[in-house]
Amino acid sequence: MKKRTLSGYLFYIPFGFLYILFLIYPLIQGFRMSFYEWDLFSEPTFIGLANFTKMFNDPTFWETLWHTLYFVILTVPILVILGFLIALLLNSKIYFQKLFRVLFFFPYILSITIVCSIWVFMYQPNFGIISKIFQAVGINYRGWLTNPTTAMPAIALTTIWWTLGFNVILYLAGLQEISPSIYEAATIDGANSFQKTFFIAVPLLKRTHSLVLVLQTIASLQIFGQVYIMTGGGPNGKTRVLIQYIYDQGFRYFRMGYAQAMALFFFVIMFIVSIVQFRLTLGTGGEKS
Amino acid sequence: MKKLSRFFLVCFIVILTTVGFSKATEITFWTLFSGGEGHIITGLVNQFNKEQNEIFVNQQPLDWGEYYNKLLASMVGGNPPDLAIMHRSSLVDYVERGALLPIDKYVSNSLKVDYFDNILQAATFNSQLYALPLDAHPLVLYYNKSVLREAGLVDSNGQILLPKTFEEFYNFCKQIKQKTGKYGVAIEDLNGLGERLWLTLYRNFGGKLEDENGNFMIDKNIAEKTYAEILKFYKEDLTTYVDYETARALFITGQAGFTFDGVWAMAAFEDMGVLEEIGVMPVPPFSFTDTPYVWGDSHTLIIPKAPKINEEKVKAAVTFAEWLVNRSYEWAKAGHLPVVKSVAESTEFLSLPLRENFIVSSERAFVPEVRGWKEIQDKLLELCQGVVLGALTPEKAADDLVNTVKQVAK
Repeated sequence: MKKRTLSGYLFYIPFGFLYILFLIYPLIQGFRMSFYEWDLFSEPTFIGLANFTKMFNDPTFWETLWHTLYFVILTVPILVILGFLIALLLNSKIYFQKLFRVLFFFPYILSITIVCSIWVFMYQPNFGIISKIFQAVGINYRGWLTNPTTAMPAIALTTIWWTLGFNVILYLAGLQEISPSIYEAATIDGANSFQKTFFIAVPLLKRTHSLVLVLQTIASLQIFGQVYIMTGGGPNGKTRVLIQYIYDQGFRYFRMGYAQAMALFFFVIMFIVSIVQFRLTLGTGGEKS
Repeated sequence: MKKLSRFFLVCFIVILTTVGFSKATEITFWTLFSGGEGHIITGLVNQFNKEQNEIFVNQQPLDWGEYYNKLLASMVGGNPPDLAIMHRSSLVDYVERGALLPIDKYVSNSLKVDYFDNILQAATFNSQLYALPLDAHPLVLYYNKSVLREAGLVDSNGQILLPKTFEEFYNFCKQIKQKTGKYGVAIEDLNGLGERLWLTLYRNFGGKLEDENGNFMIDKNIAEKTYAEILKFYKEDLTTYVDYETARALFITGQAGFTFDGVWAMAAFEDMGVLEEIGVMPVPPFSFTDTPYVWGDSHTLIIPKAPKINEEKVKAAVTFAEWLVNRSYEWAKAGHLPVVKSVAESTEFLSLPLRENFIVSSERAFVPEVRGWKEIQDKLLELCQGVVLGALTPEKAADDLVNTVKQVAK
């Protein structure tokens, strides 16, 4: 028994070593760095909590944090609900079922640069297909990415198109785990398909819901690439998100300590959100499965 | 016999390898060019490697979006390239942090005197030269000939009229709007608007970038005036808020009479085959401007300070850098302007299409020199967008800008 435990640890060592080196160690260093002023080249100077007080008084920090949350609000509910509904559809007996599964997952395998470039082209005010379609039905609106009001929803739409497939796959896997005998029993009891969906599939997918919700929230909170490529944070800074601001402060404005302080704060927010969501969706006690 | 020939073969190989490889000094050269610019620079590097066998330049083209991150990481990590491209506007941030090697003593005098004064000054800090500028890429004003003709902006001989002052330019835009219903000018919403045009107008209004002590500053009143001047074009519908690609598209498809763009657009217009219908001129100053200025950044060649300085490699890098600057008429095909007199006056350069029309721009070119420029730059973009979109008044924007400058440049 003891020998087995030892070999278990031995197997863990290669992974554990890399994990400590590339995740735990940088995390501790990052934590330390947030108490320093450091421009990457000169010696870091210890400044205590100054980075944090600066952060709480920095209007741009709060603004970018709000933009990030706004993006989460715009994307997470749609990505979770739509992902579930499409998975239901793809799980039922339809023609070309496999083809549709591939089609819905396809955008997810594209790189972010390609997805964003395609969408920027489609949003193009003068010759982009989206403006053309709207013009065809009599709506002359062009400023998808150049109007501060529609820029963020436009980026959200791109993100939904791009990442929806992942949630669909997770839900499909969950749906296929539900034993057909449960549905059979329900059919015998006279349940219709609506009832089967909402009183059998929805509750039995509790674990999948919480998984998708947490993964999606974390992914949406980390929004950066799409904004960086599609709007650069504009117009008038209305799509600038927190990760972008952290990146700017660290690598472009040479304020590593301050960037680190914000990153740490953001990490805490994400951590709390994840825990609260797990609690809410799984209930407090141990889950019976 | 066989043994002997083998012995000679081995000797031959040993001699060949020691002679062949120990002689050439290999230097790594990081660049951020792609497309047409990338082809030109790669061609030049290959040419240099073929022409001589003492120095071998190993070019590593990096994606421009990632370029500065990687360069910064390589410097901090202590393993930087031997030679790299850096924008003139970024020099201050790196020079003041001691990340670059002063190259004054390695650069030949003949090259130093060949540079335009303003260009060489911009690469000099504390009377030490830190970079070799390769080009200048100022903002210029392009005009679409058919739109101007349509708006009746021609003299009695049918020659197209060009604005001599910014006021005249504004009136021309108005006339285009009235006569044709088209936009007077197309301006892209990012750096073209908030940084390049804004700074050009600010300085031509007489705005200073340095106070008496040499500290970076923005004059609040002039900043406000500059915002108001730009806003005028949007309010009167002489232009519209569009991104870079759209601004270009509006201009080349004849839906706008003028556009502000960098000289690099030249190469793009040539590729699109629209050069016939397009003309180019320096950005006109105001009628009251004392010294006309125009925004213009440069690509410069720098040597990052490595933990151990290899004298031989530094010399090789400077040799190659000088060679490159002296052949900048090749580089000018990408639209950039040469910064050394011998090239700027050469027939090779002047025979390129339209070049003689805006050569004057590089002598007026400036970029702000301030530590933390990127932060001010971001703010400039954001505020000018806010003003033209109606979210901020010129007064509020000027206020915000001055506050940001105070915070960054303290």
